[in-house]
Amino acid sequence: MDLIDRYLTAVRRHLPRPQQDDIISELSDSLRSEVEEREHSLSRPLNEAEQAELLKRRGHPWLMASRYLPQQYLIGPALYPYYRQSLSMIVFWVVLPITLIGGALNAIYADNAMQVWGRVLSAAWNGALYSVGIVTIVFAILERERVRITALDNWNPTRLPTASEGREVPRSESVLGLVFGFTFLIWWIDLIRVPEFMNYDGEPVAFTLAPIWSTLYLPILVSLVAWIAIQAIDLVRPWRSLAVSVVDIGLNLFNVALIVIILRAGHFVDIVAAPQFADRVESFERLLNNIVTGTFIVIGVISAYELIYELWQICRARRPLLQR
Amino acid sequence: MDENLFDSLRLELRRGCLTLAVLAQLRAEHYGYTLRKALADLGLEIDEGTLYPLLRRLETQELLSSEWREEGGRRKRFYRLSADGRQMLKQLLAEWEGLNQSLDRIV
Repeated sequence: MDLIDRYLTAVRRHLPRPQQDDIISELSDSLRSEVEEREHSLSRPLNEAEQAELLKRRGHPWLMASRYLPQQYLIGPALYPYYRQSLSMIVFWVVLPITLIGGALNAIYADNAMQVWGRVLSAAWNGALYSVGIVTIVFAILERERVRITALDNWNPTRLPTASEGREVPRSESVLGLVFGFTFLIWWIDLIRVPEFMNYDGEPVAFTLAPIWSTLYLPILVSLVAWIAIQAIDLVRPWRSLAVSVVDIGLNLFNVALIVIILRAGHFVDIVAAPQFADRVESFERLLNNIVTGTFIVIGVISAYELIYELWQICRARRPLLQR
Repeated sequence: MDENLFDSLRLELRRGCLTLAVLAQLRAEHYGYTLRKALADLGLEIDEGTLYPLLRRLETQELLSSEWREEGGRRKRFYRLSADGRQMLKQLLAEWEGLNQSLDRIV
């Protein structure tokens, strides 16, 4: 069996069965015609290296065979915009809720924050894999069956929404906000159980939260729920309306006030341990309280910055209207 | 310059032209190898991996007809423009000339 026969056999293996004989006969004739012509001009048979060079120019057998397949793509240009849009919708309306709800439900049974994150990521991965896979298979079938989607053919330009005057909130910002909001919320409503007792050198060490937290439990819960609601609205309607901006400014003012109250309390965690560790416990308690103070100062600065930024955005977006 | 981008744009540019050239060349009967040679002699190189699938597609679209015959001791498949193919070629040539004239004015 010469190289050309071996090449044709390799191509045949990748061809649709009903067309194999037909395609191989034609390809064989073409290759042998060229070999004959070159042998005629050289007045000698082609050696193996020359045959190999001639075949190499034709491309790998698998590639050559794939060009005979009726469909050269999984999803063609006519269906691709619908496919892409479907994927975006699936990610935001299926994968994200599965991640957030699945994560929250998992958190109830989790022992620690790492386990919660592991389960949330696992829910996100499975949700993404199944949704994207199913959508891709459905569109590949539609493409194969040459189905034409006409759902958007009869659109009416006069029904397009009017251009918004607000700023556009990036989707990534809203998604991140939702993830952080939900994480904090499930911790705050005690779905993630932080151990209240630890062991130090064989002795129990108890952590108790200062009274300020039970006093502010409800206001902080309200602030969190409002934050999550704003992120969800931004995700669905990325162009911020004046109403949402005003609520956001109000929320940031509320947060700054909360932080001032928290910082004025000055004491956040109490640690109780065996008397022999008194010195260490005292310094650790001081360190822990300083860390919480520092954290809330940073959150306060961010809230104040967001407050000023949102006000500036409102002024900037509405300036052209005022100048008209 | 980006070579990949050039290759991709060149491929797009050639794709429609090749169909037109093949249809035009098959006003006279050819089998695959002589068709490829005839096109190459006229300056249009086309590899087998592109030509034969294109011939099959055009035949499925009933623009070409084909028959197997023996010649020079080997079976060969001869292609020729069908009646629909002649009509299509006429329309495509008119489109091509219109495009050519517009491009001449543009570039």
